[in-house]
Amino acid sequence: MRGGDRISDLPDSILHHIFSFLNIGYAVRASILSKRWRNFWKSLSYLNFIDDHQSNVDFVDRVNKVIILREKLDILRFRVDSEDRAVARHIYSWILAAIQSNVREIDLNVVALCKLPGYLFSCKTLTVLKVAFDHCEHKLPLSSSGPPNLKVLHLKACRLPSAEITSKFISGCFSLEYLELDYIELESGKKYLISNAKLESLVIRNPYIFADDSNCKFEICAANLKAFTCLVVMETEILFEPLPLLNFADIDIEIENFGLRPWSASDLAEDDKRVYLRQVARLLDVVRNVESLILSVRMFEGMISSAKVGEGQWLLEQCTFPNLKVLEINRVIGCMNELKLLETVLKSATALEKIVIWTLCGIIGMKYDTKDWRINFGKILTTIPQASSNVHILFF
Amino acid sequence: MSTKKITLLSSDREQFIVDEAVAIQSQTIKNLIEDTVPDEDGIPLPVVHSRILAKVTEYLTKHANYKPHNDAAKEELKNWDVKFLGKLDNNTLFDLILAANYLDIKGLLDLTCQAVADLMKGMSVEEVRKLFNIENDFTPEEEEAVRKENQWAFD
Repeated sequence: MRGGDRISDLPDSILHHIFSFLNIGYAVRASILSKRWRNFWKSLSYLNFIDDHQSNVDFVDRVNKVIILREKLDILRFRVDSEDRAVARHIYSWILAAIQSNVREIDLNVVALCKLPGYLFSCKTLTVLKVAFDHCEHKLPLSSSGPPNLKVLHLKACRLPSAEITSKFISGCFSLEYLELDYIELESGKKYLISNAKLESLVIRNPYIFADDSNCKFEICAANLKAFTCLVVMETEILFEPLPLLNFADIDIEIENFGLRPWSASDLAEDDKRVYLRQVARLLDVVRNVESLILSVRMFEGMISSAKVGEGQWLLEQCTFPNLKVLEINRVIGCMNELKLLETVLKSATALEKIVIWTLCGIIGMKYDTKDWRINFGKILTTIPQASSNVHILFF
Repeated sequence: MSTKKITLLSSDREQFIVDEAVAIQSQTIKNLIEDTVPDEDGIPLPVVHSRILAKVTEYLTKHANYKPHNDAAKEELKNWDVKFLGKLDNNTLFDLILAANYLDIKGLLDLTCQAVADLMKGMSVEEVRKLFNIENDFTPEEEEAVRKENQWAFD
């Protein structure tokens, strides 16, 4: 077995990979390890500037030092992670420098930023852009067209520009394959169009509108979409053009609205319940042909208890998925609605291979005991006739 | 699902028989299957020792066809990765990095490179030098000069 100095023997490409997981300071300090390491940091292709408050030197100064002293080799990733408010004014010049080094990936986790260079939106090398602010109130300046080769766009906790500009930006990213919108603030009462012919994967999680009584709309027009994850409140209406290639979906609708409403759909007022069920029905309709589906049972809580039993019953009957192979259900507590849902799926899904049931106990990691309702629940499930010949049911 | 078996041959000519779906997570093996006529004993991997190939196939078997979307399932896989890494000494870790690089297995390369990075976290330069047996070939004056040059990163 070989001993000795294994790390210094590694090729630079692997060392770059290792240091891609570390703050840039480690690579600079490594310069005194040995001669092999002296100038290694100047050729780094992954630049992580993470403000860990460990240094006496100002964060902005450290970033500027690296940008000035490094060799002008291509940058694969440029990441800034800082709570320092002063950073907002400097990001403009840092991004310009990164663009000059043909940056592929920009990942900003900052309080806010004042301005983005116009070059960013025409940068041909940029394939990944992630921007996260610490608070929704800060506005993200976008242009009306996107970087031509941008494949991944992830925006978190920022306020988007007007619905019109945002919609144009998204449809103007001609190479976009993955779009994630996380806790973004939207204009109330406006329609956001997500129209993109290449888009394969879309995540909309907790869009946020700063007004009690308002709602907003998404219209999704993405014929190439294969994966869709959606966690929204019932006031967020989502309209769809057909998604013929959709293969994976993870859907959930929340009720939470500034604490003014009950938590469970079964406690909603009849009018609200109808709105809620209509949203559930629309989502179920669009995910009809997927092979892999994750559902939250809260979407079905209100159905049976609805005064209009027929309406809820009708929705449950819609849970037939002809191509479904894997179904995961979250937040299962062992009630009748859940059994009815599973019964409908089991009786109709001819291609089904696996059902994974995540109970609340499973999520917080409790062990089974012999009186566990899951054992009974599992027994009942095995008595239900199955349309598919070989279904594994797993409890967690 | 295809259950076609593939035989991999380590540098010390030990055979590893795995499902094709397991093997082709390695881009290199995938290319070898497509492009070459196999040795009758299997696909030769002349730079990977059986001791390391055993670890590689253990990793690939766990990760084959496993694309968890659920947070709890991701957690389970992550815990498995942590246990897998926990059993490795530093020497084996570096051998695995080289094997993952040669075999072009992105997930394993990420995992092992991150593990080396994690070893360094929170360490001073002197501790890193000791951890990896790095010989200091600077004279004290040279080392001081380099330190001065990059003083801003040490403060």
